Amino acid sequence: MNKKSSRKYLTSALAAGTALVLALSGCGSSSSSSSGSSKAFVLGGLFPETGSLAYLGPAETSAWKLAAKDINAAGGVLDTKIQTVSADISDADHADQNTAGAQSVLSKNPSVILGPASSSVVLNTYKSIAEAKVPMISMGATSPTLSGISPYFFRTVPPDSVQGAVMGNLIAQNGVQNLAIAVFNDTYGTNLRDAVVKSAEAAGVKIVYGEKDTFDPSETNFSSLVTSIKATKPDAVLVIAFDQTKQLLKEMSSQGVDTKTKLYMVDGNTADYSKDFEAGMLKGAQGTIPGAHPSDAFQKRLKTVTPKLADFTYSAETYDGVILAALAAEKGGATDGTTIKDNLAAVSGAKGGTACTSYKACLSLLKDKKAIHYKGQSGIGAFNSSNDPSSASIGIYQFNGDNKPVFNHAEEGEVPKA
Amino acid sequence: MNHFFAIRSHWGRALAIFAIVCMAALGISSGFTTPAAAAEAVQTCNPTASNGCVNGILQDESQHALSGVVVTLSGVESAATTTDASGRWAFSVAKDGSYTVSIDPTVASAHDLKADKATVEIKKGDFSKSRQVVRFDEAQSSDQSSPSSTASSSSSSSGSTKQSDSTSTADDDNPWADFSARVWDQLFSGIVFGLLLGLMSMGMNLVYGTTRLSSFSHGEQVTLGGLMAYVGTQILHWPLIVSAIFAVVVGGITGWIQNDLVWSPLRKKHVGAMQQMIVTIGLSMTLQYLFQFFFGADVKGITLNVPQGYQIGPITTDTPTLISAAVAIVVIIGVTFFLYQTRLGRATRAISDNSALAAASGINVEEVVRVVWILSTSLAALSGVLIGVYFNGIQWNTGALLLLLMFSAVTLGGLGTPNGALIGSLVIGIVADMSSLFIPNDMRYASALAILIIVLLIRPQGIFGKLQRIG
Repeated sequence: MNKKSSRKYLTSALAAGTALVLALSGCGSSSSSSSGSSKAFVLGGLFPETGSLAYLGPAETSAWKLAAKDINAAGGVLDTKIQTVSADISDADHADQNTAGAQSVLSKNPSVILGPASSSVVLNTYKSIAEAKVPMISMGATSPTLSGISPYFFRTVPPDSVQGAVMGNLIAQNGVQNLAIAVFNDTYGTNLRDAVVKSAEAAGVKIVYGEKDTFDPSETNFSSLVTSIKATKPDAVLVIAFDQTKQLLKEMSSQGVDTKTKLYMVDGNTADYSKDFEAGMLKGAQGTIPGAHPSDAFQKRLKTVTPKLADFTYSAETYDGVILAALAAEKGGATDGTTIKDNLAAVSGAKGGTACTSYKACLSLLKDKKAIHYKGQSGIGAFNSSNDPSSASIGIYQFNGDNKPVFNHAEEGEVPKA
Repeated sequence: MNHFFAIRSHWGRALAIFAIVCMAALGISSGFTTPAAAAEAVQTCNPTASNGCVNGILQDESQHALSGVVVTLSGVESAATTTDASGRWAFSVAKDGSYTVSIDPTVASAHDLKADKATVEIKKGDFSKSRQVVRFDEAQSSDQSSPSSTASSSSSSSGSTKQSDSTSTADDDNPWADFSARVWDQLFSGIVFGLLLGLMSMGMNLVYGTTRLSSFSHGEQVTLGGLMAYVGTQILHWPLIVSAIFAVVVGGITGWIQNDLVWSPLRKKHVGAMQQMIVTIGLSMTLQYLFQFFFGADVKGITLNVPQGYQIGPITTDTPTLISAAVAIVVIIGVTFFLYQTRLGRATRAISDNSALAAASGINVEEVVRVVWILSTSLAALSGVLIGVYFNGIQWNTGALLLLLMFSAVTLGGLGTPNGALIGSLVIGIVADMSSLFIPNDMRYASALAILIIVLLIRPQGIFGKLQRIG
């Protein structure tokens, strides 16, 4: 065990070194053509480029870049072009990289930071970011425990109590009697599991496995887990995990557990599996993803930034977070973190105002000294007093024969206050 | 008996229809006074800002859909519908408030449903209350004396529902049946995992035996094997067997190169085993980040197809698992044969016993160590391919996650003893998988490591290890 800890130490030292090199090289490349005055709006970003959430990185980064482009095309913030700085944040298993990534972005004095997407990583980083008085807007942290955790923490995605209720009802109305839940031991996983269990049990679904049992996020051998699940004879399985899902689903399928119509997944793993499984393996499986499904037009615009983009999870939430922060700076007349924090609720429409759907339109309303209500791509309502969206929608997706999730319908509603 | 019920349900249905007609009439008459959008029966209902949903699926205990049954909604708004072929029914309601859904009590008793009536609370715009699902097969049984009893509206009643469920279904949920059904599957998966772990730790033990080096980069050699097989099957589109041979060859070459470039010069300079171990830690990290750089952080599947499992006696397995286990057994036997029956193998064991004496008796130690390195990394690569197939995927840190288990297996079996690694691995594999019958699944490796501590307290040299003379 000593050996392991020394290894961890070395790993973090190396990671810190790498981060330093990245930060230094970032100095050279990311400073844009603007004069670099202290008043420029610096847009920070913490995205998973490595780790088990790396598949979310491209969509988030593309939306973040697209938003920056749109803001600059409309003249920037306070008539100055904005600058950007981002870093890899990895996942919660790499806490060293969480800290290193956050520090490397904070060292550039950002006005706001978009991300991280994972609830566990938010917990690892929010204190240092809040101490620097920089607001952070997460596009994917759905843990209910994060509601109102800090005045500097905002999110453009509804907490999991909402997704859990929708998923629980979805399972119940499909006639499931005995549900097994394969959930990984992570803040996100267990919180969402509890929310699903609550609403599914209220509708009479029996939870035969997974009400207490979890698996290790770094698990590689799923044979034992699937044997345990199979022995409880469930008629449907809900999988709450990230990238571990690929191995788990294959093991389930080979042990004869239905991965087609009797499988349910959540936002952490409702993704494109066309390159991972044989066609038809997931046909009919259902999944929920909080937030509105990105419109075709928005998807096309994202592809102008990253032509090969295939997964769009959290892209709308990222885009809206950037636009809201820029509008808040514009309304407050300054680009420091405190000003943005104080004005975010107002531009999101908490006190009413004229609705506008793009940065350009909202900007001209602000310049006319009008109150605004930004209605963006993600379909969320204004921030409430816990800095959560006051209303939101949950998308329900069904997998097609190519193992790709296809948008089926959305359920909308108010987010209960924490 | 059946006939009798059929007649009764027929009458019941007639009564229900009569009741619906009455309610519909009431609805029409009250429609003049309250101009509200009434509840309506719909095919599928999804809650929006302007409507809530009361829906469900009517089925019996064994999940057979009950179609053509009349479902009645009453409360703030009223409506009636008939379940479709799959037993589904749905009402879209416009007003918040309390709704009662009921079916014909005779249908409920004929199909052993737990309730025929349920009261739910609808609140539009609230995620937990905009849709209420009613399930008569799982709901609390109806209580005639208190018609207001609810099936699924409050958490307290759902708690009692659960309790009554667990008592009523206790007869078919015998925990021992569940236990015995899992024992053989868990034992089998423990043996397979033990064999694969044995294959990978065998090479590590050979290197330790001949050079006294605990190689921390052995896990990355395993990952390398799996990733090379991925390159073969998914990027170059070779058959799996060709890819596996390619992976083993690449693994062997890396062993040869690193022995000649790093370990041999370090040994010649008499760098201590501890310092060399630190070098392997550095190599391990470098390789991990290189893998991540070139292959990304996600799980790479070596094969896309999913093997169809089948039943052999009490165990469920599939062909790739059996082939992996067979390959592991054959290779382990082959390596054992090599160590005990060939000149080179005997030389290897002689070096393990006493390197200086072996060198003095004319064995070319450097040459043997080179062969051991090539053998060790080839075995690691092969086990990487097999583990990638058995685990349904390989990623940049799979080997690193297994490294501590390898060390435990080697220590348990006896450091430097060739077969100790195999026995230690089997113990770790079987104890870990079997322990998930008693303790939570994510804690199962802890039990294997507890065994390690107990064995070392009794036999400090490990199961097969020889006592070392100290001083």
